[in-house]
Amino acid sequence: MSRFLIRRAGLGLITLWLLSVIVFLGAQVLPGNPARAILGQDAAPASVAQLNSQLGYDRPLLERYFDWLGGVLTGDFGTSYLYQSSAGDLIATALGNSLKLGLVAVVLVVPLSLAGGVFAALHRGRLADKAVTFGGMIVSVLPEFVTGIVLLLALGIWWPVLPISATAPPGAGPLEELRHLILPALALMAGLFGYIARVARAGTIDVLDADSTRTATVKGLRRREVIRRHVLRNALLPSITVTATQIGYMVGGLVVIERLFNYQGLGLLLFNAAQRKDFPLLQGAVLVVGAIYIVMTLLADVLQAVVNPRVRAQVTSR
Amino acid sequence: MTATSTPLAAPSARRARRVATVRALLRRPSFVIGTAVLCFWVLCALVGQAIVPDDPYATDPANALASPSGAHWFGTDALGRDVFSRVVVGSRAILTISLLAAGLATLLGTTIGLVMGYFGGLVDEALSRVAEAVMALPSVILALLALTALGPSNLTLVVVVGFAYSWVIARTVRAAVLTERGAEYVAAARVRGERSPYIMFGEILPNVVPVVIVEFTVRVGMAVFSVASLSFLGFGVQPPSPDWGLQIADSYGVLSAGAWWTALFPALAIASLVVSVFLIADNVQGALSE
Repeated sequence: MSRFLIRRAGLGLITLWLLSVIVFLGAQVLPGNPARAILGQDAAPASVAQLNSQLGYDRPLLERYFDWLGGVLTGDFGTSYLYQSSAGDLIATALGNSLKLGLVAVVLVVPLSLAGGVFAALHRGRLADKAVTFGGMIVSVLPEFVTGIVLLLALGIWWPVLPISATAPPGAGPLEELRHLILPALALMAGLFGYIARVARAGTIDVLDADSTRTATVKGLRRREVIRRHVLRNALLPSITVTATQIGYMVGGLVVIERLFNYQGLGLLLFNAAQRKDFPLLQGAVLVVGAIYIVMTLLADVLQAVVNPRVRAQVTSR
Repeated sequence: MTATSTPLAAPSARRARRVATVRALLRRPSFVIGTAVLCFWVLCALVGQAIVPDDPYATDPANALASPSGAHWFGTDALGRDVFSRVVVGSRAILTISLLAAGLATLLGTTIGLVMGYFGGLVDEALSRVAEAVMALPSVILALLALTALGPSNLTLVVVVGFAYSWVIARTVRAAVLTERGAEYVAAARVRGERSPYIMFGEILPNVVPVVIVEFTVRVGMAVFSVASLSFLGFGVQPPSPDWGLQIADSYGVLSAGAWWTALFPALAIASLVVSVFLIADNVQGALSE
């Protein structure tokens, strides 16, 4: 197990380093000229050159990369052009807000999906099963903002039970704040419903068909009791693993959802940085997004290896 | 899907298999539905401009935000433009860009995957790490980074989205090539003294074509997803071109004023396109692995 952990963590570190190279190249090499990007096409060449040297872009590429990497490793992401303050602090605040949104989403969507999967399994082959399976599949392929628009119209405007802005008015209590997060959280993670429900459904069917369950039923345990004791325990672990794997992908939806609901998280920060060509902020935010994904996949892999020793053997012997 | 056939017997056997696959596909109702919806949008993209009731670019401020009626089936937007005409004509940009991006991704990804699987060793190890690093970024965010640097244009969009997805394809193709590499026909080609590029593209590639086809169809759906999202964010198709993502971005602000039609119809259009492509991809995958 420790060999597996060391190898997996080592690979994760290499991937992280490569990610930093990709992010740096993507932001700095492609344009060739950040000052031109900031000042626009009509700016005078002299002022472009002046801004470039002010920002340090006239230095050699490698020197700039190691400067940036050194900064990032010590927690210094540079200064945002747009907000004229520490990019690291801006990213940390925004990340906190996004985590809050993500947590609300997980708490809302995961139990709902588990219930959906178990429900589908108990009605195997019938209309309810097909509705859950097919509906979940459709929602999982829709872009988040499409789900968001439909939810916003349905629950925010036609049947106005939820606020359509993600930010509560100042002075609102934590409960009110939470209520404002429900719509964006649902839109962000609705796509997960299909995945988790499918895994939970398969897990439930396995257990329902297993001998131990039959014995339990024969022993006279009530159906609800059987489901609670055997089914949930067996369907839960694979569902957690699938959630951990899929959450990384959900980060991409943050940009779109936070823009749609105007929520001050990492996604909106990234969007603003991209729109205003704030390269230090953009680079930092993108790097953080990638790092989150790599860490989440690592966790999912380790979790899977703990649950299923065969996975461990595969990775170590590769 | 297992391609253990010798190169001599391969072409006719392959053709027979292809016919069987198409027959199997046509028996699947969800494949037929998906194909019908996709064909509808392709038709709109090809001839939409000629058949729509109104000029999708013509503004009419006196008639702004009119609700759906006989004159304007899907209502009008904040500039008084006909939403129905814009939805029909808007299919062109997203379909063209997504298909080209998926095509580019397939071309790039298949090549990288062949190289990884065929050469193995250090080349494979290094490219695998790059693939993992690129895939750590959601395609929308990777594209946002590159589009900020390069400036938004349709060509940039194709290249950026194509690049982002090529690495996912490369990994799948690599896995397929690994199972082929040990086959007798590869060893025979080596003994004949064939060059590596010929063995990769002439011998191995025909046998991993099913994998490549599945990857392409899946990536078309993902490309529609990304391109629509990027347009919604303002980094994709640029105004005043009619485009679904852009239409939603322009009009979700007036939703609370009650003008639901400006955003809902393009949203449904995106949904129908993404779902139809997914149904096709899912069925193709199922039919090819039968």
